[in-house]
This record gives sequence, C-alpha cells and structure tokens, in this order.
Amino acid sequence: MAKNLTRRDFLKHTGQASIAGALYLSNPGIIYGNQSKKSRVVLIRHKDVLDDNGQPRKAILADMLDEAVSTLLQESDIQKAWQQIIKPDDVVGIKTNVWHLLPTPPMLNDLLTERVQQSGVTENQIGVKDRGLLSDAIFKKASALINVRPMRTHDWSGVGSLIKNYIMFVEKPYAYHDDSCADLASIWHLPHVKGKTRLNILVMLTPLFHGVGPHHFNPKYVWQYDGLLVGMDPVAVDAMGVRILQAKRKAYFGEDRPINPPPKHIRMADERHHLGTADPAKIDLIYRGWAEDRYI
Amino acid sequence: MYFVHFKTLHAMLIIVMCCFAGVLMAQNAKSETLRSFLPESVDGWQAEHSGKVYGRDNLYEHINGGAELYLSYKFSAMINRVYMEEGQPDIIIDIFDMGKPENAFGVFMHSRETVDTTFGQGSESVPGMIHFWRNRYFVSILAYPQTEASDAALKKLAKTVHNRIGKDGLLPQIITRLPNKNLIPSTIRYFTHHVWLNSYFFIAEENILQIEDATHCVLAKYNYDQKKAVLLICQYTDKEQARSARDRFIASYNPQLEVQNSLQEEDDTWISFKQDMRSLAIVFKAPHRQQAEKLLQSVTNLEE
Repeated sequence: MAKNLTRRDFLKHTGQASIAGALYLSNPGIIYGNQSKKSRVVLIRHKDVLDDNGQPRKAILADMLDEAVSTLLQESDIQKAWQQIIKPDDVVGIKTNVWHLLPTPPMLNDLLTERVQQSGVTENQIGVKDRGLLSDAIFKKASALINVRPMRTHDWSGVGSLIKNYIMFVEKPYAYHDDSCADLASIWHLPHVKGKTRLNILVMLTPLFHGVGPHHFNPKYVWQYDGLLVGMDPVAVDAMGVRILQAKRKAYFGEDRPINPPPKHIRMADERHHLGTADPAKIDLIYRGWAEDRYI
Repeated sequence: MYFVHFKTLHAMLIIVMCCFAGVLMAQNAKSETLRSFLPESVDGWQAEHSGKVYGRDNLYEHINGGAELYLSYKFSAMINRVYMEEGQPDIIIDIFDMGKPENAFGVFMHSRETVDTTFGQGSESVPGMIHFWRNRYFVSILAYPQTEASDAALKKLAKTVHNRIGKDGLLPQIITRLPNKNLIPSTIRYFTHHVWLNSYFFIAEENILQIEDATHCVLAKYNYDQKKAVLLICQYTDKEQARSARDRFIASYNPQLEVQNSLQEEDDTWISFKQDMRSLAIVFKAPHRQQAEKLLQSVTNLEE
C-alpha cells in the first residue's frame, strides 16, 4: 500500500527534504518495492543537435537515437538492436505528442518510423499519432508501441511524462485527473495497452522546467538541454527526467523550488501500479555524449 | 392518485425549466460581461472572432491539461479572443471569470515571480506575455514571439481591459493576517485546494491538513538573513474542523508536536504551530526557534 509521505519522512531518512518536492525519488530505503533487476536508462546529449533556429539536425539526432538504442540493448549493430525491439510482423503505433507549444519533433517521429521500417515492418503497418488512438486502425491492432514525447512541467500532474502520454488510450482522460493524476499508470495495464510498449523516449532537447499562465508556457522557461532519455522502463525514464528538471529549477531560481504539484503519478506508477521503478538505486543510468550542465 | 402524480410531475417540470432558464440567463449575462471587456481591435490587430466562451464543463477544450488549476480555484467562465495583424504574431487574450476576487487573486499569485502593479491589482510581464488580475477576473495576454509592435499592443490591450473591468475587488481576508515584517510579498500564495499545499516545498502528499473547499489557506515566505521560513495559515469553517485538522497534522507529521509546539527538525530548522479557534498556523523551516515562535505570535487576529 502506498505510504502517506510527509516532509519529515525525508528529513528523517536523508537529512534533506528538498528532493521530496521534486519527486520523492531519491530515497531508496523507504519507498520502493523489491525489484531485483535494475532498469537501464540512457541519457544521450549532443551540443550541436539543434540548429540556430532551434530545429534538430537530422544526422545528429539520428546518431543520438541509434547510439542510445544501441547502448540500451547492449548491441553495437544498430540493425540487430532494433530487431530486438520490433519484429517484421509487428503492427507498430508510435505514440507521439502534438501539444502545439512543445510537440515531439516531427523529425524524431520520422526517424523512428524509418528505424521501424528497417526492422522489416511495412509502412502501412506503422502509425504515428497522439489523438484519436481508440478509433485509429493501426493503434487498434497494434502489437508494439513506441512512446515518445518531450518532458515539461504540468499544472496538475506535476510533469508531462511518458506515463502521462498514454492518457489518450482512454475514452475519458478527465477520469484520471483525480489526486493530481496519481493513477495514470493504471492506463498501462488496460488490455489494449498492456505489455505492448517496446521503447520509451523522453525528449529532452528543449524541456520546459516551469510554467506560467493558462497555457503553462513561456519561452523564458524552456532551455536547450540537447538530450534524449531512452529506456524500456517508462517509470525509470520519467524519474530521471524529473531529476533533471528539478536540478534546473534549483539552478535557475537559486533555491529549492519543487515541481508543483509533486509528480505523484510517477511514484504511484512504481509503488501502486508496479509499472517500473522510480528508485535511483534500482536504475542504471548510462551517460553518453555532451556532459556540460548535465544536472544529473 | 394518477392526478396527484401528474400535478407533482408538472410542477417539477416547471421548476426544472425555470432553473434551467435561470442558469442559461446567468451564463449569457456572464458571456456578455466578458465580451464587453474586449475591444474590436488594438493598434493594427483585428479581432478574428467575437470571442469564444468556455465554462467549467469544456474549459479543457481550450487549455487542454491546464484546466484543473482554474477549476481548483472555482473557475466560472472564460472568454478567448484572438487578434490578428499581418506580419505580426497573433495576440491571444483569455479573460477568466473566477466568481470571486479572492479566486482571481489566488490563480494570479499561483505562479507569480515578481511584484508589479502596472495593470489591475497585480500584474506580471515577461517577454510576450502579460498577466494581471482585477476584481474577479484573471487576464492573460500572449503574443509569441514578441515584437516591438506586439509588445506595445499587448500593453494597450491590457490597459483597455483593466479600464473596462472598472472596479477593484477585495483581497482574501486571510491575507491580512500575514505579518509584514520580513515578508516577501511576491511569495504569497492563496488557495482552497490541498494540492497547492506543496507550492514551496514538500509538506505532505496526502491532505493531512484537511483542506476542503471552504478552507482558506495562505502560504508566504519570510526572509531571515537570506534563509527563508515559510508560514502557512489555514482558516476552517469552525473550531471543530480546525481541531480535527490539527490532530491529523500532528499524527501524520510528527506526534512529538502533541507535547511541544516547537521542534527542531532533522535539517536543523524549526517548526512551530498553534491552533486558535478555527485557524491553524504553522511555521516551517525557521532558522531559529525564536524566529519561528515570534513569527507565529505576530500572526494577526488569529482569534475570531
């Protein structure tokens, strides 16, 4: 059962509560279950991935994606690495995100589509979509899903996360808003979703670390991080993303400024829904590429 | 018997229809009021449409994913209008009717970083964006990316709306309880929904202070030689609720508070609390015990 956490729980166990507002995810002893195997997450960055207009350079982004997948699968041959993820007879849904102020870069959708095709899947068996999944022919029969979205802070769930990206797999997304969206991970256990996700990519090229106003956005709070977080375990990837956001907020504001409200749904994804692990002690974070201002 | 049922049914139908008509009339009145705040043009920008009005049931259509914040502050209605000018960014204005001034103030202060009163009763400007509140209205005006002309138009539009709203509204009464000494004004946060309890630092995941719709809460930071204490005041509907919240807080947070009103926490800062009548006041993260207790003592009018 989920523990009712307070600031004091963190003070008692770590001597600092500042991390708690971020996620409560830096505290292995008190929170998490008994996953024995570590979740591997790859953080890859390249300082030249974006051009002067903020658009991704395709060759660099492709290299980043390939190196991340190769590292994640521990397979130097990228073709073979993808073949571990996608089979030729798969029907593949690439769940993207179209939020107009910070969408998944279309170029990344295209690259993923290319890689899936190179794994032997024909073009007409691949769909790239955010909205209307329940009535989409490809997503309705999808045997494999790839989840890709940018990370950003969010007014109600704390962050827009990989876990949250699947809210479009339900008819009534608002039914999951209760308790600051604590139970979003339950969507991942629905029959039409469960067990299908082969890869999760949290786009950290230009994350949003703070939001203002009705649209929770201002360019002032977007920063060029030039990274991708890639993993099989969406909870682990989200947990690492939140730590980066939280560190950026501390650096920017000059003081601890917890993500508000706390992204409870990530902890609940671990503790209540057992979707993956949010415990840093159970996450094998592998760094690749540019290290400056990595924040983690 | 059938006749009685028919009469009853008839009467109920009339009541329902009257209620429905009343609701419709109220909604129309709100829509018209919101429209009256908006000009047809601003500098060279022309209004694209007469203004789209949203209510509690469909706000998410306009601010997908962001509606819950406004709903938690008892949002009532909103109008959105877009102004267009060739070669310039669109100007998007949203005016939220929050029902009461205190809710407009709360939603404005929610993410405020600076103190500014250029527009309304409080405003905040960053490149391409102006927010302000006046009376029961929260106003957001955007134009990305900002140009020199759009910046001027944004300010002109903000001034127009400010003038058309006309009157100021009252601040939430609980704000007056905050001691002024060492207060950092931009850090005041007012709310009636427990999810905003963790605005400055993580206090608790669950609603351990039993904050409900009718509970008025204020959070603010106080500066002590660059170290910041946080004062929380919650005002409940009656003494019993305050007492119940106090008991839950102590049991959940630290049972030692039952015997000592001030305690040093594991990070060496001090927590201190008191309950007076229907209010609960708690100081967190004070550098010294005396500071925590003095701040608590100077919370005004805790006795109602």
